Amino acid sequence: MSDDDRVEEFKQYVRGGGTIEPTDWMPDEYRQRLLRFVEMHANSEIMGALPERDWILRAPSLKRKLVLTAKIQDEVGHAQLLYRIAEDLGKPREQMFDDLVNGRTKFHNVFHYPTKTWADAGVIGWLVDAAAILSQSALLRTSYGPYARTMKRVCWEEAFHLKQGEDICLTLAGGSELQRSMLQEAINRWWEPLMMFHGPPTPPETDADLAWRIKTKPNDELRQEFLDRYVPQIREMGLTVPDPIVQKDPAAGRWAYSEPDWSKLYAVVSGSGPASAQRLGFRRLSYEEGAWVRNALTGRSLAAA
Amino acid sequence: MKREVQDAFHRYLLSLADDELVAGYRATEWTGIAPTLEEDVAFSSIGQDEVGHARAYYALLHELTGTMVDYRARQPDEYLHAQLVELACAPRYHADGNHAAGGDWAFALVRQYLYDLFDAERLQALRGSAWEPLAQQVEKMQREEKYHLHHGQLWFDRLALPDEGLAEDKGESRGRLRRALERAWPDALGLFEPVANEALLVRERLVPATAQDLLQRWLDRLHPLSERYRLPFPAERVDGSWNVTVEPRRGGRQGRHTADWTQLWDDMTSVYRLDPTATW
Amino acid sequence: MRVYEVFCQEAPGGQHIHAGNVLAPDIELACQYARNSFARRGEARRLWVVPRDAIREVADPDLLDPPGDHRYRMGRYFRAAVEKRKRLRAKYAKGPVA
Repeated sequence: MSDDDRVEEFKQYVRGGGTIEPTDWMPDEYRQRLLRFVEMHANSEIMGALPERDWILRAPSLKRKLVLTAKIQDEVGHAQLLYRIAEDLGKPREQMFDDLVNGRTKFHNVFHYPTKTWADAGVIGWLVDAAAILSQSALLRTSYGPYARTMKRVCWEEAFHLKQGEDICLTLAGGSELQRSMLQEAINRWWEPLMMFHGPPTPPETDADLAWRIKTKPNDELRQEFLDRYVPQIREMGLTVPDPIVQKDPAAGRWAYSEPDWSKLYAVVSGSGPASAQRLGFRRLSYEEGAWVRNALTGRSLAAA
Repeated sequence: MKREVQDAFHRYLLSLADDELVAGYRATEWTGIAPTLEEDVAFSSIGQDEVGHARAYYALLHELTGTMVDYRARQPDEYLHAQLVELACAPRYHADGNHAAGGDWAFALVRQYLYDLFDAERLQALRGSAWEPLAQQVEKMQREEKYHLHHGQLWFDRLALPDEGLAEDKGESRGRLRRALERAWPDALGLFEPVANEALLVRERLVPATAQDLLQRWLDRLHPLSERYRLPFPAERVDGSWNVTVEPRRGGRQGRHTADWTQLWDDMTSVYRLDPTATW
Repeated sequence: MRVYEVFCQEAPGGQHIHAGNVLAPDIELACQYARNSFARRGEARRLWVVPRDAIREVADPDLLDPPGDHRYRMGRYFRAAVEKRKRLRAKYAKGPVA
């Protein structure tokens, strides 16, 4: 079989629902795309810890404090699982961190923004995680076996994240005027990043990650699912979304929304977001300060001593 | 329980709860920024356990006096934890990008381990408390602390290994461990500052060991480690018991604290203080 | 002779689940025995064959399920959210109140 035929056969196999394991042969393009996709996912988990960490000391009760800490801990745990997948695909973790802190690889747009109030902890936990769960649930059917199995665990834990975030938001929504306006202000600020979260509408036939079944759902379909599930939930809390044209067309079954400025999304994920430099700067700082610890772990083996 | 005894016991339990609360806050501060992902997850669990123990102790206080202690609604000088647990050692994020560097993971580990060894001795003693609810609670906590001690021991061994024959290690981790120990001693010894009216609590067997008893046991436990790894030790043996050779830093058990605590208290209560009557 | 533990993936993409073990003089024969014991009806997609002494068991309940209260990590800890949502839904049924 020629190389081209072999690649074509592989493509047909994954498109037809076939699953790939680390020890299987895979085309270079598949390996590279998969690695890039998983690495960005891992980067997002570890960078995603930072905005919520702003509130880890400030959570307003011991219950919230414990829950938020456990939630961020989960995200770090997800990063660990995902970096392991990427490492097995051939890229050392140290190199991935190096690329991340030097801006050579990307992470999700929503983690390039600052947090301002406690309501942000709620909105991130509820709505940002809701958007993430939609993407990650679609990944349960990815063609790469270890990734799919990891997503099973991740989605199970994310359900808790969403619940805790929703509980913060519901509590604020049912609280004082100050609390309600804090929440509304946070929703207003997060709306644009949320609408950008799933990426620009891309014709499925030109999306190579779909073609290799690394991901399984087109961007705009995920955004529609998000609007469908969460706009009514926000509105029934007596709150609004800051986009007057958001409305479901009953005939078409689709939600209208103001098209985000996609060039802004590219700018944000390329490191020009409102808090990109600060977040990366802090990640770099903690990474560099921990270098001696990693040396102590890898430079020697206790068993040999 | 006589009024005088109950007041002393109340302060004692408060010091227990506050120790765990503040130790937990400082440990969880590393969540998301620890030197490795694996350790990040591990250390976060330890911090969460400590905060959980603080909750349990606050609940016991409620049981003892019938009054809720709201950890948020107190002034900074009303907290009775030892100063050791309040010291900041994680890098600090600033929204303007001027982050505060100086994260010291060696100190975080050493502080936690020295504290956990102290807590292990304290818990062991409290199993014999005449106040049954405390004795019962303590048994559960001991089982959780097993993991903390194991974690601390593994790291201590790893960082302390002597340099000989370890070509790739330039002795950096050992040096850091040594400096962290030296930094920690005065405050670690401050853990053993007795609470007011300790003698009363011991007599009633509510607290079956004095702080001085615990100090001796703690030093007994640490001494083999310092011998094995040729590390500094803050005491010498005189007539069969330990005399400390480092001046302890006291005051925590009387509500005197450092600027690090003021900062942490400010963070800890900032959202709550926006509206203390609200449900958060 | 060594004991080898055998893990079997039954469905594509599925988890490898412990199936049992075999006693064999080396890894090659262990793989053959594993295939014959656990896959002779085509029930396996893949097998993992691992020397038992490479496996460390962790079974201490104090490590795996410590006695402290860890319910806060579970989604069902937030059951009260359902009630909170109901109350809000009732209150704002006619849209946001000024």
